[in-house]
Amino acid sequence: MVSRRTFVTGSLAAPLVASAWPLASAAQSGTLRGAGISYDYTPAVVEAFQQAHPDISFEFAPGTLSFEDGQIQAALQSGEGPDVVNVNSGPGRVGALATSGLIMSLDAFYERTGAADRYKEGVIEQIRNQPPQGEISEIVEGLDVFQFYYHMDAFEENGLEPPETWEEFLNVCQVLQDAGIQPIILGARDNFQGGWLFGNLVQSSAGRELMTEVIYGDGDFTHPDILRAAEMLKELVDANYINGLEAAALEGAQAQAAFGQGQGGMTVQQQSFPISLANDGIDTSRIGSFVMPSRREGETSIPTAGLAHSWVLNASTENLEAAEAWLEWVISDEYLRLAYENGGGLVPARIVPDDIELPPAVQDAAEKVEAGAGYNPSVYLPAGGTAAWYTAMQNLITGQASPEEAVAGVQEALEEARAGS
Amino acid sequence: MTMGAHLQVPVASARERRLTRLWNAYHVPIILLAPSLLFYAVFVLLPLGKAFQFSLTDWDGLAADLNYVGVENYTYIWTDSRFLDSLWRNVIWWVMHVVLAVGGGLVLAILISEVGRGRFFFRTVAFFPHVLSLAVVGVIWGQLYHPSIGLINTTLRRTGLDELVRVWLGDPGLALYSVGVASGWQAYGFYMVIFLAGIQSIDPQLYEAARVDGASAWRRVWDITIPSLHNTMTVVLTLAFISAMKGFGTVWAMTQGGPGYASELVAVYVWRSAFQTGVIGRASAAGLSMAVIVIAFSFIFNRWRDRVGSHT
Repeated sequence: MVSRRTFVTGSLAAPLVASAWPLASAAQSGTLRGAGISYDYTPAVVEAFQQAHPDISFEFAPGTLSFEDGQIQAALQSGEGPDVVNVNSGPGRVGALATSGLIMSLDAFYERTGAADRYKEGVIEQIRNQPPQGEISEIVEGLDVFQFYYHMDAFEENGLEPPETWEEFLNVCQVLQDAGIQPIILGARDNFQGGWLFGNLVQSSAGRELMTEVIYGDGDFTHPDILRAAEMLKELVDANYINGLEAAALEGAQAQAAFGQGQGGMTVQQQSFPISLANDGIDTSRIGSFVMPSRREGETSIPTAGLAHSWVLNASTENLEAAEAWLEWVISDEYLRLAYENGGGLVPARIVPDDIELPPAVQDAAEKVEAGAGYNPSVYLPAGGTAAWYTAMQNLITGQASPEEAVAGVQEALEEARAGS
Repeated sequence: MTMGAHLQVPVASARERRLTRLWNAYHVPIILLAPSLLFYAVFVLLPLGKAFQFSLTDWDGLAADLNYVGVENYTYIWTDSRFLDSLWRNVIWWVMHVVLAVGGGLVLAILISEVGRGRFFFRTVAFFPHVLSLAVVGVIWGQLYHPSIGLINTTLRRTGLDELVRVWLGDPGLALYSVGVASGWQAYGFYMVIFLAGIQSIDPQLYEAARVDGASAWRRVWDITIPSLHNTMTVVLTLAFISAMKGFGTVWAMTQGGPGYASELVAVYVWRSAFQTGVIGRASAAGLSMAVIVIAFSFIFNRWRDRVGSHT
């Protein structure tokens, strides 16, 4: 007969044991647990990995583990998080996770596999420069390149060419507006697209060198050239080339859909934008792209770009061997080939072998960044700085702050973040 | 020494006897309440204690060690215009919640209680918005407020009221109120059900007597229903205050506190500080400050209502 005490103890313990069982068995059987951002090609690369490693059972849980939502931190701090995670890149995210010891340094992995030689020099330089300085903690899945996309028909019907100077850009806006076309379609309610546009204006006005100083050094965000970018955004809103209030009310996806349905003349997007439209059955053959003209004398116009997503290794993984096998697969040529054969839309962070063909939209973006890329501040500013950056953008397009106030707000957040770090 | 030891024995025995008496008298409620108290301690008191601990640190949510900064976070938020602005928006939000959700719930409850046939149907339909998750409410109202294809602006244009067309969620002066309407729409069903329960407990003879005296429907509501709902109203207003002070879901789903900070409530401030800016200590201080305000107001309000109730 079971005593009352045994029964009560057993009743309480049973659910705990039952809930812990899958974890214990997973660890014992060498199951590799992955999680994070997934793509159209994820099932294909996971399946290929499984075939190549029948001894490893790979369970991938798709879904964005957002740093800004605290999800990735909570998952890693739990001590039971996934072994490998695909997260949003950037010093404010991966850098912060690495500094706090939640993810492993991959220096030894890079050295053993020679991975650095397979990646573009600029990418390795960036991930080595972010905190903790000199250490690499991620495998970059790909890049996002942000530039202007436009309706070729609207341009041709109005005798317009892609602009090469700021003045020409303003002229394009004016001509489109006179023709009854909203010059720039923007959805900034969820911040991203507004950040991309503002980032392109900052690159045009301030250039890469100054922004390097702001992001990695102690550069001042109230610098006159950055202030000019805020003034440029205000100018576009004041002239109604951007409907600021509407932009603040729309999400990026809504603006994307509106542009895809033929509304507006131009929009700022990433390279996967035409691919998404094509997947929705929209003819993208009449959508062109151009880089925001630089206002800096003698400097080439370059788009902004950012490391999009990165694979990181949970510092508390007990499955290191299997996790490294996955990372080795991620840096392989075959992985890249499968990615682009199955709808991949990221610009490759690595050197692409000659026999791998990139989708046209990705190829276009990859060519644009060959001359260099400016920073997408949404990715490169530290956490507090990013929030202030988005607020500055929203305040500018809704007239709640002057350009001076907007950049001062970002500078204040940057100073606080720098003091904290 | 011997005398002291001799004297201690009866004292200990008396204490033991008192404990035994207490145990005999209360052991059943203690045993029955123990699981609840355990859960309360684990899931309420411990997190609260942890939040208080964080509020005294500059923890960023990542660091392994806590660095104590005293009351610095509290000083910061109570001198931070952004926090104070968000607190003021909570007051506006509360007023909107009381007018739209509580007021709407009361009006509907009175109307439904007057319905003879089909009361169940009307009650179910009226309660429906409350069943929806806040995220779904955000999506629905986000579409209704869409500046160009939303039902509200389209209707205004079609009825010749173009001058009333607005960018409801993009205009900093309107965003908070627009979201407040959506929130009120989602919440009124909850209060309606409470009011309906309250109305059903009113003695029907009071209404019959009023009818015999020739009282109009309005007089019956004003002189019988509303005073009889005194206690219900106290509960509802307390719940409405707590709910309004915690306002987050609809705002987050529809504007994320924007444009800029135009619709940022305290809960959004807390969330943004914690996860977007990584200042967990400051977010904890703001959250706890809000909790103290809610508890203090609820206590004072209930005491006042009790006093008013006993006088009337």
